[in-house]
Amino acid sequence: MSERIGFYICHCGINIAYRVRVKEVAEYVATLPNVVISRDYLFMCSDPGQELIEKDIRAHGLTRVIVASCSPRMHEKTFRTACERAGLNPYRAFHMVSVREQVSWVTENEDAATQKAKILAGAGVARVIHQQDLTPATFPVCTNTLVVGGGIAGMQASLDIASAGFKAYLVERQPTIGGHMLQYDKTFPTLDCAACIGTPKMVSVGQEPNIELLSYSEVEEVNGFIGNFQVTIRKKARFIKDNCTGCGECEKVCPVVIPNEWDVGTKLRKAVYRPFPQAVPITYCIEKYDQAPCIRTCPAGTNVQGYVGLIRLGRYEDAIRLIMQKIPLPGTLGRICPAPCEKVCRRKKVDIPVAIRELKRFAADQVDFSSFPVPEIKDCPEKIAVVGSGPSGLSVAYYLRLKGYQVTIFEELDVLGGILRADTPDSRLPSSVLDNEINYLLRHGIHVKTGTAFGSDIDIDDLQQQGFSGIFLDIDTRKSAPTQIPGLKLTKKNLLQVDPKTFQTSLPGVFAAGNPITKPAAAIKAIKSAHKAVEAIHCYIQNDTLENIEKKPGKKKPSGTNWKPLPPELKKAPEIPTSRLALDKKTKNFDEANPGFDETEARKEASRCLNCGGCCECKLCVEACEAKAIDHDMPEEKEIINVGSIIVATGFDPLDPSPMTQYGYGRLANVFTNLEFERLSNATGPTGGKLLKRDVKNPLNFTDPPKSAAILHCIGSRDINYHEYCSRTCCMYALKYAHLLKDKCGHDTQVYNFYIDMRCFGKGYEEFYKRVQNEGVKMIRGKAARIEEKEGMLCVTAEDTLSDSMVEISVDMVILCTAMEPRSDIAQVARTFGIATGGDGFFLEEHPKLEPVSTASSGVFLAGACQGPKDIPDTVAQAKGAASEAMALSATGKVSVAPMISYIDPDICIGCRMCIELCPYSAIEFNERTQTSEINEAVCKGCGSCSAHCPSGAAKVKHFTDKQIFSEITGLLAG
Amino acid sequence: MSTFFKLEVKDTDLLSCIQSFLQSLLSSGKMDALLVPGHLPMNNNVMPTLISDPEHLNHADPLAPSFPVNAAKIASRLTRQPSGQTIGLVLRPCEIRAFVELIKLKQGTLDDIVLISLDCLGAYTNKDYAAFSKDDPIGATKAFVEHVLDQKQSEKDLMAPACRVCEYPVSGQADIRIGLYGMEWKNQIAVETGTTKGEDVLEALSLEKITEPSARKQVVEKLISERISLRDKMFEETSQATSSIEKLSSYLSRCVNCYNCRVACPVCYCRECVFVTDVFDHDPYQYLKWARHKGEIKMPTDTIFFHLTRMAHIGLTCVGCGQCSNACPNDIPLMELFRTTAHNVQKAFEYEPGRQVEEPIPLSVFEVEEYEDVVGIARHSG
Amino acid sequence: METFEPTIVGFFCNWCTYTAADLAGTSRLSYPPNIKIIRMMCTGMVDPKYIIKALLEGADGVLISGCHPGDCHYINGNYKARRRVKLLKTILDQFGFEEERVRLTWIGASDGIQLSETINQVVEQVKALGPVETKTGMVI
Repeated sequence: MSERIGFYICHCGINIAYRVRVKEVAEYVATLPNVVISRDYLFMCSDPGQELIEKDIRAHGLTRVIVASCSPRMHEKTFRTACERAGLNPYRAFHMVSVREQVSWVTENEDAATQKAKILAGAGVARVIHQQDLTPATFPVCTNTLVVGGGIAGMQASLDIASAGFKAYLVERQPTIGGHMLQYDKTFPTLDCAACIGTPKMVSVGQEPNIELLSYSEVEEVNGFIGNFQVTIRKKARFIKDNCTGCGECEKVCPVVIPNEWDVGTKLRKAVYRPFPQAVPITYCIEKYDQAPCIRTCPAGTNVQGYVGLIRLGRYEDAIRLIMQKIPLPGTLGRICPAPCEKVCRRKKVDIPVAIRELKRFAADQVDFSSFPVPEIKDCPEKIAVVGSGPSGLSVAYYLRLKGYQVTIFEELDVLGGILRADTPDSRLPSSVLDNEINYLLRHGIHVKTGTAFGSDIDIDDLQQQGFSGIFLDIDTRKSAPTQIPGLKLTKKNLLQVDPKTFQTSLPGVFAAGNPITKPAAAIKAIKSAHKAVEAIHCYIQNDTLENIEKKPGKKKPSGTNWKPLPPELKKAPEIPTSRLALDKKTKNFDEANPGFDETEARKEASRCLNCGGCCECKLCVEACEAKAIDHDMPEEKEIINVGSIIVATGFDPLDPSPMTQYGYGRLANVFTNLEFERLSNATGPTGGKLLKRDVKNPLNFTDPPKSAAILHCIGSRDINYHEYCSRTCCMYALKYAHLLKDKCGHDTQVYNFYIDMRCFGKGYEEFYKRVQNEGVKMIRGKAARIEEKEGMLCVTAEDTLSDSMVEISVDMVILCTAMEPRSDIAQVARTFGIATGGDGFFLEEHPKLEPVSTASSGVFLAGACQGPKDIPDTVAQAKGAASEAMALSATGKVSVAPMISYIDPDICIGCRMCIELCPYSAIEFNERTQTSEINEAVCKGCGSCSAHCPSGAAKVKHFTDKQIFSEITGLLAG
Repeated sequence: MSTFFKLEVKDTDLLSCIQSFLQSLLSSGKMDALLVPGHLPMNNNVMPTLISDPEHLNHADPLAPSFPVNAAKIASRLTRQPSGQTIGLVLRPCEIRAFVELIKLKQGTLDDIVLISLDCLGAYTNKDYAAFSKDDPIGATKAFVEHVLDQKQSEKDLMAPACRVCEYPVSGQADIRIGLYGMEWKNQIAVETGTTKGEDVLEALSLEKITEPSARKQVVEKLISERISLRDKMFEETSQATSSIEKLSSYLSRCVNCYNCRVACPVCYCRECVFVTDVFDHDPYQYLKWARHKGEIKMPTDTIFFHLTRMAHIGLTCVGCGQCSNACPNDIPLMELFRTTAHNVQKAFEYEPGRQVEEPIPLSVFEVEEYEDVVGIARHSG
Repeated sequence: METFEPTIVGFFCNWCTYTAADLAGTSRLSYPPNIKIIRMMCTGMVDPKYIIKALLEGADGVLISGCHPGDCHYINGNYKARRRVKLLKTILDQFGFEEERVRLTWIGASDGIQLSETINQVVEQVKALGPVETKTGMVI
């Protein structure tokens, strides 16, 4: 059948015709082979334009249609549909040539533009005859929607979807939904409080049965395509189960204090926390990182971070109890331990390590061991003999006694302590300290037989006959006269031969701690071995075997280095803390022994701990929780959900103004960011809603209301060094701040706004501006240049561009209206969802005007500030738009995907499977029966990775075949 | 470490020695058949033959300077599906290297295969071999062996151009290597294990273990370095001869688009070449349009297009066996052209075809950060 | 003497550079008419033989352009394209095609200005080289 082509060139009003002589192009194309109709028309995309095509197809029996007009990204679909209406297969029949975006708008010379249009049209004529019938495949749509981000946009979209009767999964990475809006105080221009209008939304989300809230979770992977996405959600471990009642008892006992992100660091919180009282879900959350390096390094595994935290809180007895879980002699070790923990302390990255050993000693010295309560022990009948009373003997005795065993220590000398008594100058380890601690251990019900030498006074047989079912030997076989104990094997070095895992000697039921230590400083190592021996002996007695010990996989410590990031304010020049100076001074004085920290110094020193692990796992919260909701071993979970559409509502980050040193943020106490000011003004913030100045000496302290304040607009926005765009919200919230300052601190408070232009474009915005101006707020047109401290005041220098003069104004408080910027991880998120970011860094919508919520990935929609700076009304409007897109998909129930996907010709494919390796979507599978590769049409997206490599051309992308491309090339070059 | 075993050569009859070694392999029960070049009974032509009866190995002649096909494609046919039997493949090093490339393209496997390789003495073109062996094929082989191994200079060296510049006379991939270079070949040669698979086979033959013949390493190294300098000279000459499209057109002007080179190429593995599909079946008016556009076109068209595309397809995997030249009815020196290009692209991707089955073909993989030199529009030098 | 006006064939990926070309148009950023764009879905589908074809048919230059590394709409098509261009440039170099005749660039959807600048430079560079040999002589 011969081809009959119709060619149509559009004037686009004058957009094309002003530069391209469209009639000449049409006349030229009429001369090309197969062309039977060639026309020009004012607006091809208009109804009459489309009708023209349809009429010609019918009247002239056209088989192919070419429209030369705007970009195919604009109207390809329009004309394809027109062809389809006239009975042609739209993919076979239609080709579009861009003579507006690619010719008339970008070419200066009319002749050149006309010539280029002719060449492009000619290439289209050459190509179109090789196009083939294609039919889009239709797939059912999963009616669930994933909403990513639980800010106001995500909440609104989820609620709308749920109210339409569809299911929404709302994923939020923080422990609570709410987002930035809930951090704010009042909202402009109506001044209703954000919480008053926001918390009801949060509650509705929490209660809506059609919404599955996945808080403290993140989207890890997105597979599939529009209508049929499989999304992997990583549910981070909250360590608190759903039965949490939100009573807050855990929070009271937690020793770890961390700045609260929700309050942008203006307030502290605990490691177990809830960002703010109205959080949804109400469930608490424990912030955990990898185990702190100090804990991981301690041979005995002492919870260093935990007891340092307790010392900071002045809870010395709790600290000692925590230490004694691993070290039976805290005051002793607090003097002699080589403290490997201090060598790995991350505080040294800031200044110098925390003086951990001194803190341990300090805590021990605060406890009177003679009256320190002994825990209740549940007795059991088995008897244990411990021979020798060095650190390992004492440890074994103590920890076995805690398990309820009847423990007797046999000691050759008159006093207990073994090596701890030897060679230790009294100044370093006063014997009174050791005595007190040993006596405390004995008070747990440990029996002692001093003056009983092993070998001569007593031997293994004796002990066994006396009914000791477990024997632990803390003896140095090298020192004592070569004791030939029947059945006990010695190594070449004359040491007791013990199994490295079970610490059992060659005699069953007789244990020893490997290498005996030779100096007191090694006590911590002896304690480490003692813990393992205790486990083994306990296992031996309970099960009469050691098999379990051998099989039991050593409890693996998490080995990562994902520790809590160093707080930014600490990254400045190191300053030796006064507590340490005091300590250094004391230790340098050789004449007298180191008297240690006093209480103030100790608590100050303890507060230097960076809480590397977040939660220190002291587990005080576990006891405090009456609902038994705390599970420190809760694992992270992954869940795969099926959704048909995705709404990305991931919001924005506020810009960090610290790099703009001229404004002194972080250096000058009373320079606030807008978000800090919001928290200050918010009733759940650090000041309970009072606007107060920050204490210069303690940034967590707030003093009295400011008498004057300056509000600096456009910090980081409309600034070529940061962001060129306008952040759109700052003018309005700046006015709100001005009003709040006047309202809360008194109308005599002087408030200055430094602005470039006032942009009050929204409904009621201009009226609000007038109102605030009438309240006496001073508006200075000019961007502030710098802030300096002068006589206790903050002096703002700016150019007043209206009076063309420099102004210097001293105020008590400055608020920086920082830009909204893309989330720091936006690039990664963009990749996860297969969407693009624009020049401003925010997510790119499909069309800036006509498709403001769609993206390049079908089925993925945008809502809120992740697409660009937005205020609350615009965000909510866009969220509703995105929800309606998602609902339209769900309501239709089916979706057709573009047919331009790959196809592998089974007659040509030789089964080399190279395409399978190259396919980014795993859309190709090998058919063992036919020995060829095959495309999974539902998964293939038509990228052509396969076709460009397949040398035989077995793999081809429909609509982009070799023949089509070659014809187009030839058309361009030899047309 | 490889082990060497002694093979005794009686009456300086190297061919008999190799035939009886192959017989012992086939009789050992370690393999069910051997693929080996052999004289066809009807007219003494040498072709790859698949032999399962040890008696028939008296036709085998892997020493003959005949190389009518690159047997990598035959190896691929024998291994593309499991046969349940073990086959010994007696292949030239270039055949093994091509086979390794085909394995990467899933066109074969090393399972149930024992790769046996003789030190390659090279080969003549089909025409030259036919003339050379006409009267006495076995005598011709003997003369050839003496000529190569004793370096007897005859007036006219018939060695095919590909073999003259081949830097792989000894296979690095064979399971069993039969050494010829650097041996007292008139008395004894050595057979060497290349892999544990080869070791397993050879240990079963109760051969006498010997140390590596002392002269071998040096002789092989010298041979390779001579070949490399010849090769580089060839690259230089070919580059000069094809340094523009005009020169390339002249170089290929005798091409009649028969595509024999593609058929003979061991690594051109497509079932149907795109150049014989309807993609290149242009409409009549298209030819006329081209002719009108330039005033004159050569028919058939797309000759350079074909060769350049073939270079893009097999440049990385070309092993330089020279079968393209051998197959060309019009004696276009295709091996020189393709090896020169292949050398350039293999250098660009630091890729050596046939080195290892595990090494991916460069276009099947990518790194996130690489080859920044081809991105952007800044002018680079060179 | 008539000035030489080169023909450049552009293979632009639909999602980034083709979109950038639309943006350049919308923004009325003018560039020389020498470039003729062929719309591809991804640089990863640009078969080396398309480039060879264009050069042999008399394109004085070829510009392949797609998404920046990491931004590929199809995850990694641009990385595969980079290897293919590397291969092809190595081959073409041997036969006297200057390296300026085949260019690969990353131009994102929002880089309208960069697109027009790139086209300007490519045209200028190729103009300086003069016509491609295949245009003037016979190609067999």
